[in-house]
Amino acid sequence: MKYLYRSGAANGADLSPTAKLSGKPEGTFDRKILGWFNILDDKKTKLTDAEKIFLNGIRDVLKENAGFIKREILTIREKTPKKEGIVVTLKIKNQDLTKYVGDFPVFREFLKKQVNDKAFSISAANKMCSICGEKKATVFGNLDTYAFYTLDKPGYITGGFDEAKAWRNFPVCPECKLALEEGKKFVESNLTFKFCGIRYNLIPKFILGEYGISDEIIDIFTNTSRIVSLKQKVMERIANDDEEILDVLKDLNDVITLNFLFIQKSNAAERILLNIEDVFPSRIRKIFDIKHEVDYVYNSNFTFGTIRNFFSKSDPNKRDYDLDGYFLDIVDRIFKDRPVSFYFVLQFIMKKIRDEFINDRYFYLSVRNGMMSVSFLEKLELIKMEEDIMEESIFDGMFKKYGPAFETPLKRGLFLLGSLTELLLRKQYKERSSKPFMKNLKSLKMSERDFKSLLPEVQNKLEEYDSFDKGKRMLAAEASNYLLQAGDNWKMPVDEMNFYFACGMNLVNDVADIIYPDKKVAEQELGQEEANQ
Amino acid sequence: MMKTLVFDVYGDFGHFKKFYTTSSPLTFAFPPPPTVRGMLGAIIGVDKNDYLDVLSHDKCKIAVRILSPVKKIRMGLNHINTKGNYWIPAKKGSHEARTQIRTEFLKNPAYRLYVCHEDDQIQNRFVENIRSHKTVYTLSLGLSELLADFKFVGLSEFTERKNGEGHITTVIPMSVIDEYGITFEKDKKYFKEKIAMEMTRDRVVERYEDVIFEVQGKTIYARTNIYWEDEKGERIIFF
Repeated sequence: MKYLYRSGAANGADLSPTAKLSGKPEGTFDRKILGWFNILDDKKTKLTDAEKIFLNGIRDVLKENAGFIKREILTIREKTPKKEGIVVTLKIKNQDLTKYVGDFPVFREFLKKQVNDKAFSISAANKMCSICGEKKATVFGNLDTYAFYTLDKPGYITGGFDEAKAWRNFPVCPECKLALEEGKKFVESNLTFKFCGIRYNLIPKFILGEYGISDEIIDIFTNTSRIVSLKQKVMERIANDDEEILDVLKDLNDVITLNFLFIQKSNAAERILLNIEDVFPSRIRKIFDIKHEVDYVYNSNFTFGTIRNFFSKSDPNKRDYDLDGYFLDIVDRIFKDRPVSFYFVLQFIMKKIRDEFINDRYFYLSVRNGMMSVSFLEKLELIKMEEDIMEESIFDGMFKKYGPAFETPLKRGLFLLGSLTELLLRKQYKERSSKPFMKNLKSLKMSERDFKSLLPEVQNKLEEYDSFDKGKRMLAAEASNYLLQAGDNWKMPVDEMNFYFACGMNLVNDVADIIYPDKKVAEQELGQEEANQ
Repeated sequence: MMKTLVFDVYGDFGHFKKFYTTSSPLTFAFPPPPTVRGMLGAIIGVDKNDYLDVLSHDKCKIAVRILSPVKKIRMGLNHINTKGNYWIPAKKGSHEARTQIRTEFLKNPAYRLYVCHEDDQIQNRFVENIRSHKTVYTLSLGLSELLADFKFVGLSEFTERKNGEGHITTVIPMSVIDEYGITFEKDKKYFKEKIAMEMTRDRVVERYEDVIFEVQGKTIYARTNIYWEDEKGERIIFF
């Protein structure tokens, strides 16, 4: 308060003769400190004679000593480590009495006037404030606390496009304006988190107000860890908090909901990317429960980041994350329990999988992430899987483990064919340190016809390598059996067919455990590729 | 006893802009009272300069019930870019010809409106038009592009009662609810929004109020200092 700092326009002075030292320290003094006194030259400035004499006096002294002050500033800047910021302000000594800028009413009044100047340009007297609901002496109409309320286009002004009357849309009294600004600061410093790299504000909403809600719950919203994600450690804590909230709410007879406000800032503009409103803690708990289930099945750690892998950039070479919108839409659907299009998600999963496959990078990891994502959405009942009654098979136990994802003959057939192909690729790699058969997989864009011809090709190749043993024969027989059951005209998109095929390649270890009861043989057949997974 | 017209309005999409958003418009879950008055004005053909007067709060009582679960989606709307108060039809410098605004919409919104006007003539015009599925101006759900359909439900006698407790079918202004008078039931989702309640003819809002509602369109069990009940026992709250 005593320094009375408030930033002004980037190239102009701040709102008081206090400034942060920038790149050129001497420039800061001229532009910001001396620059502030330019208001004395403005004819619109209303000052009493005493104030004029006082301010002019300061300006004269500063001008006279400008050279000395600038040298001092430079010396201090040089002595101070670069990462430490410096603020320059005035200190006025009168014998033993020392006063700062904020101690003088004239500076304070000027600051207030400048702050409210813009607001006063669109205002009205004796009107209802839309926030406190009371009639106030003044209400402002061009609030700029959040930039998603702007009046920079006439189309934004409802009721006649008349800017002078824009206060009718969103009238706010000076007290509420200040409260809003403080509220924003609070939310930004305490309740801003990152969700897979995207910032959001978490805003709790108490349906019947704050009354009766324990400090403990308020505390949860101010001290929660910075990163809300489904990471194990944080998750447990959030899950616990969640339960605490519900438990207390039950006794309090009150209701709390959460708003997730994703805001994108670009220059001065702020856009609401997504506002997930009114999420109940119980929904978050359910999301955690399902996460646990997925973690257990895949023996891995599923987070929203797993889904984010597929929805970040449409092209890895792009500089910007251009799929934020899709990702946030999926997040919204997960939080609000709205269905997700399986084919839409699959399209992006397969794009990534293919990319990794072609470039021989993290193919297995991507397939696993894809399977976990699909499984997560499926368990949350946001996507529905087609299920058929299946014949008994030695692979039943394995398929059951992964839920309804593989409950049609075609899916199982493609899966097993994927595993068989993977065994062939490993055999090739073992023998010749390369996988020439990979080119037959057409960058994982195989059609029904391709898959049908793939099985005999794989069998042939295995024969050639003298590796078509009992286990693989069994696997080929099962794959062939399922594909026959699937009949002709599969009516399945290429992405989906290749997805199940890739899943089979990925989960070849599970299959090997079944076809080779002898662990040593299994390990031998899987070869060193295992280490790559 | 209040003779009340009951009818449904519904459509594919709706948008009732929250007053505190302009460049990223969000929507209320249901039409606030001034909007409903605008819709009523369209039905009987009251001029846009007069409807807030003719259908003002003290002359025309209205209540809103949410019929279908509130679903919100976002779509980009292409607007002409009038930044700086003018429009250039082609890109010039940093001034784009158009601007895309991501707007939140209600999907498949459906509401039951309860309307009771003190002037019998006006009330009869409402009933007549709704019954014969006629409007003077086209009815829409918030924006002119979002056309609405409507259906006559019936005429009911609602009786005003003081201090009672029961299931209320309409959205409820917080001011009529006794302190902690809401029983939060399982499987119901309660939300609260601040809306404009009364607006003068020159479009100045005279009263804002918090309103509580169940987002799936279910009833709310509440203890209120006033409510209106019909012969079938349906309890509603007029704004």
